[in-house]
Formats: sequence, structure tokens, C-alpha cells
Amino acid sequence: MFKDDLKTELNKLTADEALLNQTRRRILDAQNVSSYSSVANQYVVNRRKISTTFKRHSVLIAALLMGIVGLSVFISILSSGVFEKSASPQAKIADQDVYSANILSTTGTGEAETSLFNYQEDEAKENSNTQNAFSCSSEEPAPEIQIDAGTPIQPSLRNSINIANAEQTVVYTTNLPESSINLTICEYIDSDLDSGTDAVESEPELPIIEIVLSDVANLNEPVLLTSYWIPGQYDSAVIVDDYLYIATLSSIPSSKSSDEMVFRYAIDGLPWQIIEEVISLSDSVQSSVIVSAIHLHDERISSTETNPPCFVAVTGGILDISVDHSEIVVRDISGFGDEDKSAKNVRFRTLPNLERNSP
Amino acid sequence: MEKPTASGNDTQTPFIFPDVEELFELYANDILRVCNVYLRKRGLAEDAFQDVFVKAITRSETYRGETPIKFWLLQIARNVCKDYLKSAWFTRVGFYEDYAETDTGTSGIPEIADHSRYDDEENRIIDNIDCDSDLMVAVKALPFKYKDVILMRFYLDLSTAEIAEQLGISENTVRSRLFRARKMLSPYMSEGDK
Repeated sequence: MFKDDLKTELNKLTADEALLNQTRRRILDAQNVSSYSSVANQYVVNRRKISTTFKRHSVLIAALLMGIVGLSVFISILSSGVFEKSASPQAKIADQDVYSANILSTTGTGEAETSLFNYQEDEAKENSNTQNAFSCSSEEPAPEIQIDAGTPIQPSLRNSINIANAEQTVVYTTNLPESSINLTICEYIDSDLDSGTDAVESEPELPIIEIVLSDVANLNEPVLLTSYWIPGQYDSAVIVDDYLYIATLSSIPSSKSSDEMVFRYAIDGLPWQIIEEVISLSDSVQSSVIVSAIHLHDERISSTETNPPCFVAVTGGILDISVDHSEIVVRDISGFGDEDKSAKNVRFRTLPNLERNSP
Repeated sequence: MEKPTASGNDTQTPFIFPDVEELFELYANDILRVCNVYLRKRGLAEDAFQDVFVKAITRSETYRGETPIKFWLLQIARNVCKDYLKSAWFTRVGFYEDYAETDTGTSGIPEIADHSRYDDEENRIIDNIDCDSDLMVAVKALPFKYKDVILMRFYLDLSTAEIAEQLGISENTVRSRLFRARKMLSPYMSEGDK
């Protein structure tokens, strides 16, 4: 019979043990894989459905793509126009730098001071905007301030100036790149504000900032290199080209001029000037910001130094300070002789290696 | 544990899906033979056999016990073999079934492939053509839908109604396919079977 013949023929083939073993292994592998991919399988894409949808709605999808392309072209044209506009302030800044260089060379003649008071308000606002754009487009971001309260405070000279009982806060600490020098900035605030009037005369007025540079090559025995003191409350700090710039707010006006470094400053819309000018201009003293600049790898670093090698102060109604790698901007409402008392930006540029005051 | 059978009786009691060894013991040979007929080559049939059991075990939760496990496995095997036949190898490499399906006689019924077209002796060995009897060669050369009914009717001993239910077609269609399949295989049948 056909049926028996067919069965006889088919029965010749049997599943041997090798095939069964191989199948067992595959089943085990599949079970292991499926246990790990069970979640992923929930999101398996149905390719056939996508393909069908694409075919059915191909015209609609093509129109949508065309729309996206058109929109992106429109946006690119629009944005190119914006960039074209933003290029002009940079040109203005370049012109201004040239002009400020001329002013700097004629500082002693008094011409700069004259031009200082003859600026137009509109022009000042315009230049303020352009300078803000300039500061935003700096080449590289300034190092971020990292506060690590867990870093052990380096030994300092605080005991020697009788502030051992003040509340100490580590506001900034970092290890300088490619060296074993650790930088720690501590702020000392009077722990009992009510008793601040009872301070002994020999004690410094708080708050005060201590900048500690120490060699931590041997972590068990860090070596104190130097410790600097700056009056005021810590505001911000940045390290640029081996220089540490710190801005502190203080009620005490300080007018110490730089002896190692020239700071150039500019009030909104005015050419850059050297730092002595701004101090002489401020007649309504309310508060001050001290911008200190410390060379972190100065060969003269020693434990005997207690003051920064250079620092400058600006007085007036200070609103806020921003320290960037290219400039330091102080928003000040003193106006510097301006009658409307609107806030002005006082910008500082440092020239650590270019120009130095003659002794 | 109660072993499932090919009949539908195992669905009346609370069903526990058998483990791998039970599946092998009960259905391994049948599935391998069915795959061999569908795919015509031993090597491919073994690959499909593994795929069938891997799918059955890894997707056992989809089996609801409505049909006997044997039919469920058979359905998986049919789907796996269809996938193999739709794969790139089968669609790009000519095979003698293609000749058979295109060479229709005056009655419109596809004729049995003439495997003497295998001029290449090496291919004949690889495809086990020489290992199979003429009857097996003829069955393997049938189109897929005729293989279905021949295997279910004469190997799995299913009734026409059961075949119709499994394939989702009417009983008349099943009878028609059986008639045509038998006619195609008539040269290999005895006079009584015709």
C-alpha cells in the first residue's frame, strides 16, 4: 500500500543522539539569552509594519521631509544673518583695543581722563552689549570652581593673627596641574556676629580670605609654601595662565595699587584705562571689591609672604562680580560720576606679562 | 506527569507543558521527517528541527492547550520550513521543484519533477537524491501544499476534517488536494492504491 510504503520510507530517518544533543545546547543557549533579553524584546520593531506604513504613506512622508529640509534651509539663512550681525561688535572691539592702546601710551597727558567723561550714554549701552558678547565668546571656558569641604585644611598662619576662633570654611581647593602644589582658599567669618564689636584691636576685621599654597608631594607631611590674606568676603576665583584671580567683597575700601602687574579697566563704553584711574574716580565709597592676582608658580613664593603680590580695589555700590578667563567684570551702581546712578560694568583686563609699572 | 498525546484528550486535564526530553521522545522523529520532506535535504531538515524545538521550548507559554502538542509542533515546523524556503538561499538558487511546478501538463496538474536533470553528480550526492527511493523523491518534489495533505493523511493519519482544521481550509479543498497529489504520485503507487 502507498500509505505503508510512505511510512516505511519516512521511518528510515530518525533523530540521532548527536542532533538531539545539539538541539539541547541550542535550547539552553536560547533560554539564557531570552532571560536577559526579555525586556529588550518588548521593544522589537515590527519591520514589516514599518515597511508597509512607509509604502502607503510615501507621498506624505516625502512632503514632510521636503518641509523639514525647507525649514532647515530657512533657519540656516536666518541664523547666517544673525551671525553676520554679531560679527560687527567684534570688529568694534578690535577697533577699541587699538584705541585703548593709544590711550595707554598717553596716560600721563590727561587726554584719557578727558575722554572718560565725554562719552555718550547710548554709545555706552551699545558698547556694553558688545563687550558682553565678547566675554561670552571667549576661546575656552574658565576652570570651574570646585568646592571640596572634605579636603583637609592646610596649616596656616591664622593663629599668628589671632583668628583661630573664627569660623573657617574652605571655599576653593584644587591641585595645580603638573605640579604637587595644592591651592586652598579659606574664608574666615566671625562665628559670633554680635560680638564682632568686641574684637581685639590687633585682630583683623572679618571676613577675611586666606590663600594657602602648599606642596603635597608627601601627603603625610605637606609643606606650607605661602599664605596670603585678603580682606573681604569671597566672591569668585579663577585660574588663568598660572595666575589666580580672586574677587572679594569688602566694606573696607582698599586702594593699594599694583606693583607687579598692570590692570586695565574700562567702564561701559569707555576705552581701557590703567587701574589707578578708577580708584581716583570713585568719590562715593560704599563698598569695595578687591581683585587679587597671585602668580601660583612664582619663584619668590615663601612662607614669609602674607600679602598677595598685587591686588587692586574698586569702590562703589557693587552689585556683583564675574571673573572670566579674559576679563573681570564688576557691576557697580556708583556710576563713577554718572548722575543717573544706573548700574555700570567695570571691566578689568590683566596684563601680567605685557606691561609693568616702573618703580 | 501525564504525557500529552496527539489526540485532543490531553486538553481535558490541567495541562503541564512537557520538558525537552519528553518532547524529544514523543515527537523528535516525526518532526525531523516532516522537515525532511518539506525541505528535501537532510542538513536543512536538521537545522529546521533544531529551530522547531528551540521555538517550542522558548515560547511554550504561548501554547494554550487547545490543540494537541503534536499539531502545535507540526504547525511550528511548517512555519519554520516555509521560512527556510523563503530564505535567500532558496530564492536565489534554482531547485528542481521549480521545474516541476512550471511544467504543467495538459490537465493543469504539475508533473513530477524529472530529477534526471541533475547532471551534476556532486549535487545529487549532497541532496541525498540517490539515498531516497523514487517514491520519496516524488513526494519531496511535490509542491508545499500537496506535501501538507499527503503527510497529514498518510503519515500522521489525520482525517480529512482534522487536516482541514489544521490547515484552515475546507474539507473539499483538502480532498481536491489529496486527489491531485495522489495523481502526481500515481506512477509510484500500486494499482490498488490508485
